[in-house]
Amino acid sequence: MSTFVALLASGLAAGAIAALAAVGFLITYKATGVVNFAQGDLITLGAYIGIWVTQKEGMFGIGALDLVPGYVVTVLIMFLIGMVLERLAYAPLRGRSIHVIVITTLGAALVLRAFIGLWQGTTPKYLDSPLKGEVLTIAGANIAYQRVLIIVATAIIVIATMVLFARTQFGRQLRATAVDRDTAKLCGVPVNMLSMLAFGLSSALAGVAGVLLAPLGVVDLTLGFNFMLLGFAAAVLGGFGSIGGVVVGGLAIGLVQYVFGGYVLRDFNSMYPFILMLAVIALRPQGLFTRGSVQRL
Amino acid sequence: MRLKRSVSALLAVGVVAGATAVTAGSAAAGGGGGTPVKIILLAETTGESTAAVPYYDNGTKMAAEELGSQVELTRIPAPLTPAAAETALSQALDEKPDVIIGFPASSQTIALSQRIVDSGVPFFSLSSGEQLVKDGPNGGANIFLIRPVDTNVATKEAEYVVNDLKAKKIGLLCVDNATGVNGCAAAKKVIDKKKGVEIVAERTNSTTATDLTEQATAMEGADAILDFNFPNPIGVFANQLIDNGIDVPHVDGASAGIAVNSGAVTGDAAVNLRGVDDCVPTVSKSSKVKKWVADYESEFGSTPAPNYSTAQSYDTVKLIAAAAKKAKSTAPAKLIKAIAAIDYKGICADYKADDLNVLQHTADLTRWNADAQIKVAKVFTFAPNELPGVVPETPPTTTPTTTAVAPPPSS
Repeated sequence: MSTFVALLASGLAAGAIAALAAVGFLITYKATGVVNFAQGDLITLGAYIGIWVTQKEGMFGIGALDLVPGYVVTVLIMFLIGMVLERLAYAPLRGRSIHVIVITTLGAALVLRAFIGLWQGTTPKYLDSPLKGEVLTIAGANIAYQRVLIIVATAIIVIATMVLFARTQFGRQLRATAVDRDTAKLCGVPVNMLSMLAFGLSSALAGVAGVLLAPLGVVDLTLGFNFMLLGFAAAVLGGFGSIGGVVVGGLAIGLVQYVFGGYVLRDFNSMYPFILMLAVIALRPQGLFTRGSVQRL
Repeated sequence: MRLKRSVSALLAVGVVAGATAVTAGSAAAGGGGGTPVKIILLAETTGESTAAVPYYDNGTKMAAEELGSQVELTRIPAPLTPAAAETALSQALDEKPDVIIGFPASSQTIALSQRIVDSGVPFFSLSSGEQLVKDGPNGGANIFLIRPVDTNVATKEAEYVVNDLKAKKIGLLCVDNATGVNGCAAAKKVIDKKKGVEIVAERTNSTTATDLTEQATAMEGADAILDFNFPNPIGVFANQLIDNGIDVPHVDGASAGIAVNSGAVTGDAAVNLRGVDDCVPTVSKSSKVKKWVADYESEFGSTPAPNYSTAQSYDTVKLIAAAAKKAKSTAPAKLIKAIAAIDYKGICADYKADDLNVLQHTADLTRWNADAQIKVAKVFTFAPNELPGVVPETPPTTTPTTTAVAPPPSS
């Protein structure tokens, strides 16, 4: 029983990070129609910025911030970076083929990774956490509080994002843009500003994922890449439709990898999320939680 | 007519003398005052890729600066991607070097071993794969290993767990690539031979694992854990062992030091952890090594601190210069003979080639306290010409087929 509970907590925590990445994907997709493949490297960048602001002399020599304020500053910086990314990697290409823009986001990912390597070096680093070493015991299973924090923080952020989308003008405008960008523009929706904000919000979520994930191990330049893939798989499972759908997709991915993979063919557990994704694409291409017909080409 | 003959004779003498002088100059190359030994380093440095480290570049550069005109050092970045590594080797061979130092990852050297052997150029491997020893499936008379063989290190780690720690129940964690497969194969060979010792759990993980809950809980009941892994999973695993109440020695390779230095492993997790480095220059008591560390830090700074890769790269250039001086030539055959016969006392170790062309025969078992301060707990000594023989004999290829995964320092 204790092993099952421990694996369940691991699955939920990994699924939560994948869900944050997936929600990031979804927000930019809704606002711009672009799947931003730089999301994984934005997670990595978030972890490095967290280290930068909380360790040694801190950012620009102003002194290291305490961990929690440091995390908040990190997320704010990531929001700004997301807006800059939109200006550099999306705005100049608006109107071009979607394939060109998607490839550009991949290029942006490589640039980000190279930049981090030059800035922070390639030696692995570590981001501290106020919960380091603390464990919660449930049914005989010891669960690191950091994982509990990941699950709780993701739940709060997802609910807040859902409220933002459903109950605010920003959310309504974003949804209108997602349905028909040109009509939304004719109705006075500031679609260009919305694109910037969407990239900023998506990048901020990557920053949250980075600072939550980093204390579990060491931080290196590949930290976020795997979660970008898992996040994409989660978004596919959710059909790139609703936030709730991609969150459930993320959790499904975490659970299939850690809980199912903890008992069945353990050595292959990292493949399970993608097997699930391929199965969904084959059997229900519109995703598990999206209504509507499928157009086959 | 007589004048014509005299002029012809003088010309002939001049030509012969000139030719002799050229030959003599070539023979004296690198022998002090002659042509410098042309060395090419095939390795990346900081900023050139996500896996690049500054150690090889800094170490070789420092040695070359000290040797002045005796050596001519050129670095060609050699990325981990197979095609790029092959291009880098082609570029190096086009330069007609006297010696090549190269490839931090075994996967790079193994994949290109046939071309390296065919070139006949003395090649110092920065990686330590058992396949690369002379007469090994990917070795050759011109390939020298500056590091102890990886499977010999794994064997010593397992012997340490069984004999020194007296563990009876051992857990194994193997990263899912050659580092983990070779390491675990060598460890299992030791464990299988020892009566009353058993493996309680054997698990694998990916290089990018960020959660090893299943692997950690599976180790319950183990007296000690042998782990052949990369820095990130080591950090995760060491902490998850403690989280799950598994408070036993956890023995790993060179990646352990990277995980601890990053700050990810502290407290009981650090106290339980052991690593193996080819040498640890920063804690050496030798005045020669202390001076070298100080010189290094004054030139390159103390972050990152010089490690065994830095010291070995430095030593390799110095060793090559010493061999060329001894050979009084940079002709490949003479240089290879001189390298094979040299007995060189370096910063990281005393180097002497055995019949397998392995030059270093020691490694340091390291431990940390709760504040992550390192100490050398034991020195492993490897008998010359011995191998555990756990690596399958695969034929060498000319086209690299391995994926570009950042190598652990122990690869």
